[in-house]
Amino acid sequence: MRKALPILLILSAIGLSASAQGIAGGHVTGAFQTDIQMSHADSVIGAQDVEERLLINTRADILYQNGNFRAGLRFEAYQNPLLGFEPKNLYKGQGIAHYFMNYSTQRFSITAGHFYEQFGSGMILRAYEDRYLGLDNALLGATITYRPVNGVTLKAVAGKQRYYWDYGAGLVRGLDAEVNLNSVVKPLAESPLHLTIGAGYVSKYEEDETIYQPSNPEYKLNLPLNVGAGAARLDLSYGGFSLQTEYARKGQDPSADNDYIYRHGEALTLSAGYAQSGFSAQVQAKRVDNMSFRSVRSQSGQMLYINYIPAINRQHAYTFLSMYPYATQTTGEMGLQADIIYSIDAGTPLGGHYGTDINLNCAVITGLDTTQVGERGTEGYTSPFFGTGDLYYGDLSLEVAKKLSPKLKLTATVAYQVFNPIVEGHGGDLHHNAIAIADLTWKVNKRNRLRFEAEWLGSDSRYTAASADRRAGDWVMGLVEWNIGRHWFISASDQYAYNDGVGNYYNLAAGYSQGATRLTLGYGKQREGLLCIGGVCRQVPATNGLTFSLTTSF
Amino acid sequence: MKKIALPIIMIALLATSCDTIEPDANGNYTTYAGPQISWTDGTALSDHSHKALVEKYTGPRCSNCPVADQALELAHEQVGDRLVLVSITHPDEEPLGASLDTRTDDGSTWARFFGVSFRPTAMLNRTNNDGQWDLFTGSPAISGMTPAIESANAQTPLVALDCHATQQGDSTDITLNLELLDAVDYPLNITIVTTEDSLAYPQLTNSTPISDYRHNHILRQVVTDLWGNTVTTSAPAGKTYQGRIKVVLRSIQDLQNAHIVAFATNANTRQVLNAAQCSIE
Repeated sequence: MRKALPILLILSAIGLSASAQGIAGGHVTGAFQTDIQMSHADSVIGAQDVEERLLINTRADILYQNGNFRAGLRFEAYQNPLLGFEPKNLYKGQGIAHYFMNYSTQRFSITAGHFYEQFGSGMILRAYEDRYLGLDNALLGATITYRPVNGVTLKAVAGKQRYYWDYGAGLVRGLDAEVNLNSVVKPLAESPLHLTIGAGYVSKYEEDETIYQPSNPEYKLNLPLNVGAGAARLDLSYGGFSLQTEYARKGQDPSADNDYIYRHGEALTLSAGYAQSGFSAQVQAKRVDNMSFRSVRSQSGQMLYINYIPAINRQHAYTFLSMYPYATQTTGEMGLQADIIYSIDAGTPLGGHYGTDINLNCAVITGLDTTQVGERGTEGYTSPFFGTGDLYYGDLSLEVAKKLSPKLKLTATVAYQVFNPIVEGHGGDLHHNAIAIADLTWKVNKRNRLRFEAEWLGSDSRYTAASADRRAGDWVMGLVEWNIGRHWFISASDQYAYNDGVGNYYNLAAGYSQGATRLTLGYGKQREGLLCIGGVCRQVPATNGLTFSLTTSF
Repeated sequence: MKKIALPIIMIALLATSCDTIEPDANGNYTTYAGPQISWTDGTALSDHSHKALVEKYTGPRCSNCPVADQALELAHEQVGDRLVLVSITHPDEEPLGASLDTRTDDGSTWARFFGVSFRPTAMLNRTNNDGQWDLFTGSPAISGMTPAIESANAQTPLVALDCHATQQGDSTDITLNLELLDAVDYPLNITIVTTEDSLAYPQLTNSTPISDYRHNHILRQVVTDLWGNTVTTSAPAGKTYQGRIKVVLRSIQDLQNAHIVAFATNANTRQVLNAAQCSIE
């Protein structure tokens, strides 16, 4: 990946394009980000000493566009990677991690090089990157998008997935078709019923390898070298009503994730909603059974996933609400979520002078009801479609946002969460957490705005040296954030375990932004735990020290 | 229509690019990948006798099994070394308490394949009549097996077989000598297993449970593929072979009590053609 040839090709292409049309005919855009971290040991929070003293993650994206032609590349440097980007030896390095050339017309688009793509909700294919998760499963190969008629989109992809500074051994091939029936079927053209259907198929190829049955080591598994997964989806809306559903099914795919069993995989998601002025309600359900789909069967961790299982529980932003985040269990889970948003009109007894917004959310996620029928090299288990297993996660939250005066706005949240540590891969009792949050924003004047945040978490979990779970116990937190004009901000916060827990996590931060450039400097402690985005998580270690971040774009 | 014909064809092609692996009779998606017997030309055998193979399906929770054990030991005394015994712990026979679990995957596969559910049940040379495996079900039936064993041994075998085994460090060298006494036009397979005597673990009986019951001839490991390694599919009468295989024996508690059991089968019918047993020297 770090070889110069691909970059030379792109630069040559840019040069040819420039010489053909003149560099003035195109334009260059880009973005730059660097994050620097200094951390030193703190035995109370479990922060380890860092021998490099200075850790830096840097990336720069350059995009050249000239008419229908686009080319881009991304430089990345992990010298050495920030804490939590593990394994460090695989992240470590610098070079051109991403490059591509694309030519697009109204009907046709072709990309050679690295690309990101998603079929439907991603249950059979989602190539994407998230820099905060340290995740990039871009495909290196080619992709074609073709729109033969209005309302019909066909996609074809083929490539290998990025694996740190290398590529996974598996080859990924896929096709997807999506049809907007309102565009294709004339009687539906003016219909208030909007219908879009889609279907896709992804196949991966990986060479054979020798994997034995543990209890019978003379017998090796007959591995499928080509594993396929298909999905069909429907997106429907009528007036305020909407319905989205997708069903995916995967063939035999013995892998490290499912301990090399041969049961097929399947997943079903369903989302139904209704919205009108001041009110919306949405119900989501999903069932996932053995749907881990990677291009390398022996891979674990977050790399080389071909697909993505959408999270249906609410993605919280407040610290204590997200202290026990739920990580999607691709091997099996069932979930149900209901979300209601209601705005009480101003001038009513409950709405007051400015109105009140209420958001009620409830999510329950369980394991599957499974019966073991064999070990590695067999079907593995059976599972009735509607059977549920252990409770993995429960979340009930009520958020009330109210403008108290022209200068004051209060958002109050109460929540109750149940968390099963098995979703993080270890056993233990369920944790029951009650959380209360008050978030007050005060517009002092045109130039100054203060935000106060107070959080409380009461938990039945107890910190023990054996479990070393530093989230355990009862916590309080306070935060003050001062925005000065359009450019500066200063914040101070502290989280303190006042009962059955350990740790005092104080943080000071200051930032400056000017246009698209933003500088942030922070000092403090960060608790170890999971950072989750969309149900995909990264283990974050405890840190104690200085952070600096610079982002800009042009 | 032309515009979408190509994508439809591509989807059809891609959709077929998915492998489907079929399981074996036991639900395993596996292939034998262990050591194979290496065959060379051998020498004629002096012993052309037939040795009957009796496989007994048993278990620690089978209270009638000790009666069958006694009956087969009595038959062994009568028939001598022309009876080779293998005692297979049935897959449904959970150990009593935390005692030794002598179930094996291969033994479980055989039990399912031959339709053995009742314990004790015995098979003599895996014979089959009109699609039904000849099973001696229950201790009375097993107690009356001796005439059938003697009748089987009275027939001229299709192959003659003997074995020798020596321990070399951690591994065991097994040598088989095979002579075809009749022409072969079917896959002739050899299966090698290990058995162990004097294994003490609890056993239910019709009276008082015995905590240190001495179990003999217990199947410990199938050394080859459970249906055997193929020697030949076509060869004339008189052809001789010598087979060698070097294996690391698993599960054996005491090599002094272990035996190597080899038996020749017609792979098409599964019928046992002859058997041999040897100690490990």
